[in-house]
Amino acid sequence: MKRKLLSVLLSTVMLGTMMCSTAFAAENTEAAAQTESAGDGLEDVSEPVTLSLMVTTRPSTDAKDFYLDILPELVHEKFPNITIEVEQLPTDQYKQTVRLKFASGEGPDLFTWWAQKQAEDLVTADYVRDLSGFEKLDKFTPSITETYSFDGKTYGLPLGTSFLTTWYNKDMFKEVGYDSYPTNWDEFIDICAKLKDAGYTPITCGDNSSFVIQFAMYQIGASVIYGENFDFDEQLYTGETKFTDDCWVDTVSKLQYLYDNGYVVEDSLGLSQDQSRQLFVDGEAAMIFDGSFGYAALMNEGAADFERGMFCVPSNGEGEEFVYNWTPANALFTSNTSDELHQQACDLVMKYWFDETSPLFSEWVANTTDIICYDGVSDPRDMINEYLERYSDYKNIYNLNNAWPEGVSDEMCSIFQEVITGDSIAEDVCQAMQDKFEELS
Amino acid sequence: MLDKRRRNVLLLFIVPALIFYLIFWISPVLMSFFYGLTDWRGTGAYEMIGLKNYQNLIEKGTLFNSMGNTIKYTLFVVIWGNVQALTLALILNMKLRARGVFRTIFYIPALFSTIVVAFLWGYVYAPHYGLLSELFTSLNLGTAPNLLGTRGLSLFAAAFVETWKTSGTMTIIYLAGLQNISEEVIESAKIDGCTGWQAIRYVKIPMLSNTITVNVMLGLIGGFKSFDYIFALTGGGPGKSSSTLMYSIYKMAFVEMQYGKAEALAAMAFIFILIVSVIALTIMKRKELEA
Repeated sequence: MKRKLLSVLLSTVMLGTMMCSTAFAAENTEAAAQTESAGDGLEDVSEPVTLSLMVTTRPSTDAKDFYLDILPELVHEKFPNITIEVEQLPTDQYKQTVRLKFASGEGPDLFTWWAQKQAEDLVTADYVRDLSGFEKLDKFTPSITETYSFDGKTYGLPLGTSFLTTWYNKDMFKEVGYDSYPTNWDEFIDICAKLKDAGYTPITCGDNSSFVIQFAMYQIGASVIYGENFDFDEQLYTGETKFTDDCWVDTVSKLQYLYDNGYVVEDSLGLSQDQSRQLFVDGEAAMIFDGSFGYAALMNEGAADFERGMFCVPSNGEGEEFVYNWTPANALFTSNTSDELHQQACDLVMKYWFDETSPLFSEWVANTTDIICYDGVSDPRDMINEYLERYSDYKNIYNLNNAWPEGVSDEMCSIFQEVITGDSIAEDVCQAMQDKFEELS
Repeated sequence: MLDKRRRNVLLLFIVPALIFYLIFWISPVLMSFFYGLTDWRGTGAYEMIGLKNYQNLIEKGTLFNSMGNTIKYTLFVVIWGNVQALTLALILNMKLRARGVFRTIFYIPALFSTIVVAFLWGYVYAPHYGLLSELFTSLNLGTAPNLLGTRGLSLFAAAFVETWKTSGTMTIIYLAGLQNISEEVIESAKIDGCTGWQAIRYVKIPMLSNTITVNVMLGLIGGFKSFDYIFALTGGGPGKSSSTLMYSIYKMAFVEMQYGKAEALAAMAFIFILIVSVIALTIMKRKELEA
C-alpha cells in the first residue's frame, strides 16, 4: 500500500515537473525567439559589470531621456549583467571632466565626443579605442565617419549631423516681395533692406550668449572662405593660410555690415539665445541665425502665427560658388583604457544599439534631435529633408571651429562683441584669432 | 607632566584636520605655483617654460584687464552692498508696523540660488521686453539702457545683482549690530541735541564698526571671488569688458585647456587677493580701535 502511494506520488511529481519544464521551456523559447530577432544572439558578459557613460547635458523634457533612462533600461533588459551609469554635464565642464578622467586613468567606458581637431588629443593620447573593425561601420554615412578618422582608423560611431542655418518668416518675406530664399549676398542684403524699410526687424541675434555669433559667422564663412579654397584649414597648420587673409577679413566684415546697417536687432548684446529665439517665434524679427538643433524651440508657437523656412546665408556673389554648412554633431567613443570585460560589454552595447531590429535602435531614432546619418534611416522632419535635398548639389563644410584648437572660436566671438559695440574692427577679430591659434596650436 | 600629556592629546586631535588642510588646500596652492611654470594642457606631458605664462598674461593685458575689472566689481559690491544693507537695516530697525514681514521679504533674495537669480535678472535687464525696459516705457523715459550689452555697464549690472542677492544676509548682520546698541546711548545723544542723522553718523555707525568690518570683509571676499554672475549674465563681455580674475582663470583652464597659464593667473590672483585682504583687515581693525 505504502509502495503504491509512493509510486503515485512520484509519478505525480514527475508529471508535474515535466509539465512545468515543458511550459518553462516553451516560454523560454518564445522569449529567446523574441530577443533573438533583436540582437542576433548576442550573449551577455560572463559576470556583472557596470559601464560608465558620459554625455553632455541636453534640454530636458517631461518624456524619458534617451541617455538617462531608455538606454540603461533597454541594455539592462537585454543584458542583465550590464548596468550603465550615466553622467551628464554642461559642455564646458564635460570636456574638461572627460579629459581629466582619462588623465587620471578613470576615463568613461562610453562617451560622446566631437569630430576632427576636437577629438585629436584623445586619439593621440591613446585614450580611445579604434573602432575600424566595428561590423556596422559601413552603415554610417562615410563622409561623416571620416571626420572621426585619424591615420586611417575610425574612433567614433557618428550619432548624427546638424547644420547651421538661418530660420526665416516666410510671410514677412512674401510681404516684401520675396517668395523664396536668397541665393546670393546681394539678394540677402536686399531682403534685409526691404524688411527694414517695411518696419520689420530683419534679424535677431542673442549675442549676449556670445557663442551664437558662430552661427552667422560659419554660414557666411562657408562660401567666402571655402568657395575659393576648400583646403584652407589644412593650410592653416602649414602656415600657407592665416586668419588674417582676405577671405576671413571679408567674412567678418560681411557680418559686421549687417550690424552697422541696422539689420540686426538693436541691443542684441543684451539678449540671450533664448530671448532672441522668443523674438523670432513671436514674429518680432524676420530671421534668426540658428541651426537644425533649434528645430523644437523655433517651431514652438509664439505670439504670431507664420510659416517658417530655412536657408544658409549665401555669402557668395552672383555666379560664384556657394558652400553651405553641414557638420557632424558628435559620435560615440569607447575607452581604450577599460579592462577586457568592460570593453566586451561596450562592444555588446554598441552592437545592440546599432542593430536596426533592436528596440534600442528604434528608441534612438525616435528620440535624437540630430539628423541621423545611418543607412536606411530618414529624418521625420520634412523641413530638414527638403533643406538638405535643396543644397545636395553644393559643397558643404563642417562647423569651422572643428578644425581649430579649443579657444579660437571663443576668442572670435569675444572680439566680435567688441565689433558690435564699435570698439574693434574686422581686422582685430582676425588678428586675435590668428594670435590665439598660434598660441594654442 | 600632565599638562604636556594633555597638550599632546589635544595635538593628536588637530592632526587629522591638519593633514586634510595640507593635502586639499596648501598643497594645491603650492602646486599651482609649480604648474604656472609649465605648458600643461590638462592631459599628457608638460614642459617647464619658466615665466613665459606670466609674461604672456602681462603682455597681452589679460592680467591687468581682469584685475581691474575685479577691483571695480569688488568696490561696487563693498560700497553699494554696505550702503544698501545699512540703510535697510536702519529702516527695519525702526518701530514699524509689520516689521517682521518686511524683514522676511527683504531676506528672500538670499534664499534663491545663484542661477535662479541670474536667470531672473536676465529677464529684468532684457532689452525690448524686460522689466526695466517696460518700466522705462511706462514712465515715458525712452529706451532703457542696455545694461548687459554695454561696455562699462555690464560689469556693474552683474555686481548689482550680487548686492541684491546678498543684501538680506548683510542687512541681518547690521540689524544684529544695531540691536546691540543700547537704547540709553541713543537717548542720551538725543538729550545732548543730536538730530536723527547725527545720531546715525556719530553714534550708531561708530558703534557698528565691528559689524562694518564683518560686512566689508564679506563684500571683499564676494567681490574677489566674482564668477557666477559674470558667467551667467555677461559671459565676460561685451568683449572682455566684464572678465574678472576668476572668470578669466575659468575660461583659460576649462575652455582653452591652458591649465598652466590659468595656474599662473591663479597664483597672481592669490597673491593679489592676499595683499589686499591683509591691508583691508589692518585698516578696518585700526578703525575699530579708533571708534
